[in-house]
Amino acid sequence: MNNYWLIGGGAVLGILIVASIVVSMLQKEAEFAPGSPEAAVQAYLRALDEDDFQAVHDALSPELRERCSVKDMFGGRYVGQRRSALEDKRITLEGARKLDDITFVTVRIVELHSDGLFGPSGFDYDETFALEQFDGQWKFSQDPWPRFHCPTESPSPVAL
Amino acid sequence: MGTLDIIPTLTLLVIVGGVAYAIYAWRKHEPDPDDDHDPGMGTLKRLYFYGISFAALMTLVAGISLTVQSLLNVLFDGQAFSLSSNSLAWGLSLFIVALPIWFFHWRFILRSVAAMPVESRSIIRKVYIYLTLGVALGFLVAVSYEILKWAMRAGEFPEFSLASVLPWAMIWGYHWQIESTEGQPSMETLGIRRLYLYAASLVGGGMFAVGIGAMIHTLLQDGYAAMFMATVDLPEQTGLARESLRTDLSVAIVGGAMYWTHWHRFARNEKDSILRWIALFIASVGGAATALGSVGVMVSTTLSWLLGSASQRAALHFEDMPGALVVASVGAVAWALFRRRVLMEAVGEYATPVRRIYDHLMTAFGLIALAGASFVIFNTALATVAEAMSVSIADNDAWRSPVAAILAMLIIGIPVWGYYWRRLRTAYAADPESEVTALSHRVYIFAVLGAGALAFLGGGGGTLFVILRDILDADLSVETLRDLTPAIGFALTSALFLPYHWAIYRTDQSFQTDEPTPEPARKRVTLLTTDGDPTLARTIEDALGYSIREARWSDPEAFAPTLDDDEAIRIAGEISQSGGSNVLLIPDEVAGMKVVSYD
Repeated sequence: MNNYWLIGGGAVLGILIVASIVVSMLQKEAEFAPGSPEAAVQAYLRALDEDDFQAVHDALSPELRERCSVKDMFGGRYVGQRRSALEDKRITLEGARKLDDITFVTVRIVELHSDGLFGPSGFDYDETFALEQFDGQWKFSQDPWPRFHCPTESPSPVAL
Repeated sequence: MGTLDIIPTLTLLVIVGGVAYAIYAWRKHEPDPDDDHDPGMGTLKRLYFYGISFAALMTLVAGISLTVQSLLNVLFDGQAFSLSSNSLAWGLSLFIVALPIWFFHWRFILRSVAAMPVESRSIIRKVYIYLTLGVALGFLVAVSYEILKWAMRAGEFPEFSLASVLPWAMIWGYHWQIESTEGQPSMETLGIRRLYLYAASLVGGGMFAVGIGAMIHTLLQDGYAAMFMATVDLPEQTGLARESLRTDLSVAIVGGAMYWTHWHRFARNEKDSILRWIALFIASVGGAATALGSVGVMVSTTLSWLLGSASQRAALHFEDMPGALVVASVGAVAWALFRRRVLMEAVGEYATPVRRIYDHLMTAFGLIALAGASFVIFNTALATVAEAMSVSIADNDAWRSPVAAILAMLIIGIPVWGYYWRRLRTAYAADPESEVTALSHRVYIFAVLGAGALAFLGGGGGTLFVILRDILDADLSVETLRDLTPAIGFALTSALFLPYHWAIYRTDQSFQTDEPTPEPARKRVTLLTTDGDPTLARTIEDALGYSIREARWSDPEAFAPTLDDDEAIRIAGEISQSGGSNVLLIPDEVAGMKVVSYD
């Protein structure tokens, strides 16, 4: 039995596995230019990952902040979750596009779940963040991912 | 739903088919005389080792794929906002756990096969090997499609597909190499190989046909739209290089490669097998049914326009014609190609049974079309009577559309059923005894009688229920007739076809002898063979109808004679008539084979 191809293939796989370990260990998160929309998205995601609720809330536009308090955003279901919204997720930049004053930053989110028969199963999807500058800082002008339980409209004026 | 979404279902069907065949082969399997002396590692042990090896191997591939995917993520993904080591951690953990488990179990299996040659004849081993080959092939097809689509710039970067293509290819190649070296020493194990080959060929051929058909359909639909529709907004992608065409081309290339390798290469020398005939019948009669069904749709569409039942303008009414034309063409090509192949291979003893099965299948298709037409006729007639008895507030021309469908089914059904049924009756008239006892004839008659009886049961029961319900509620009205229409349609349709086929069944009975021919008693037959070619044993097994044992002839004068089918039948007769319950077959230069029996 000629097993050279099998040995060769096994060697290639072995090299790929070692390379995967090395490269993955050395990989670092990208550093975006300070003051850029991408850096604002990254700061927001880091704050979310660290459960810095106030920083996440501060990343919203004044209008969104007024409509949705920190308690609205994170009270109840979000805090009740055992895991952070970013756990087990790999998020990469797909691109950024500008429309008038709004910059749309699109990211790809890859999730991995341990429900496969012979291993985990995964899926990926894109999310787009809309950012506008307020006082020289990029803020989210539309409800960002992940979906929080904020009121969809501004609260009606209180009757006197 | 994408074209390849059907692959998991097909894979599941193939696995279920494989398990069913394994059970059938195991039940049918003659006790091997070798088993008395050398049972190998034993069935339970085999089930354990092959089962765990399979699970560990699948886990191992998942681990390797995830690990390599994490490398591709780093190299080809965009800049990372947030990292996750999940993919690498999962991949490495599966790899680290599965590798030693697989290695330990598989090494034990390899050692057992080397120490006990009977192990290589085990059905469980062959089911494991071909199940692994089937699963690996399924994944290879899926990942190749994704990679090809990406290479043609019609899909996203397929990280997981690129990471898993090499492991799956190696698993397929390794198991195929083992199987090619080992061969299939018995009819049952050969059957498992054939099940894999023909299932893969049919799936591959189907994918090729779907891919090519979809491409032609897209182009024809464009032409139709350009000629008959007013285009307000041109789609973003037009012309031959559009994304949908490249996607369909990927399906066609992957499916075509799978079909060509399995049908034209691996199954090239696999003739005279039941599974091959089944595959040929599925391809040829399936192609015919597809082609004729699509022609029926085209005829119905045209007739409904001519009868004035169409509510849309012509361009919209005939919008689906390019699609129907493509499906009809693809079906017709499959029908022509595989019917030719059936005729080429149906020679000698196969000519009559194959012709008979083919004719019965085509007759069944024609009969289904006629039964459909009959049902719609009764349904429409009763509905029209019910409408006539009602107070009409508008012109009612609802009959036009069913009439178009009825005519289309009759136009297809009458010539197909008439032509093939006439051929069968001519053969029946020439040699009634052979035709009556033929399995295909009996299956056909009982299938029609069974389907007719069930339809009558349902239709008759439904009819009686509606009548009794309205009588008991004192609510008999034109509504009763409306409610009755489908049930009466079923009952009358079965009443139309049942008596004729029942009469044929009664005529068949007069030709059948009461006492079935007793099967010759099975004996423990041992054949002295030289190393290598298993053809001699197979020829004798085919003539006998059961498995025989092979014993290696060690003397210097050992040789293996070549037997034709007539000689094999003569030897099978001698074995049946011999006095002892055990038989030894010794190759003989003069007589071809010396038959010695003993108790």
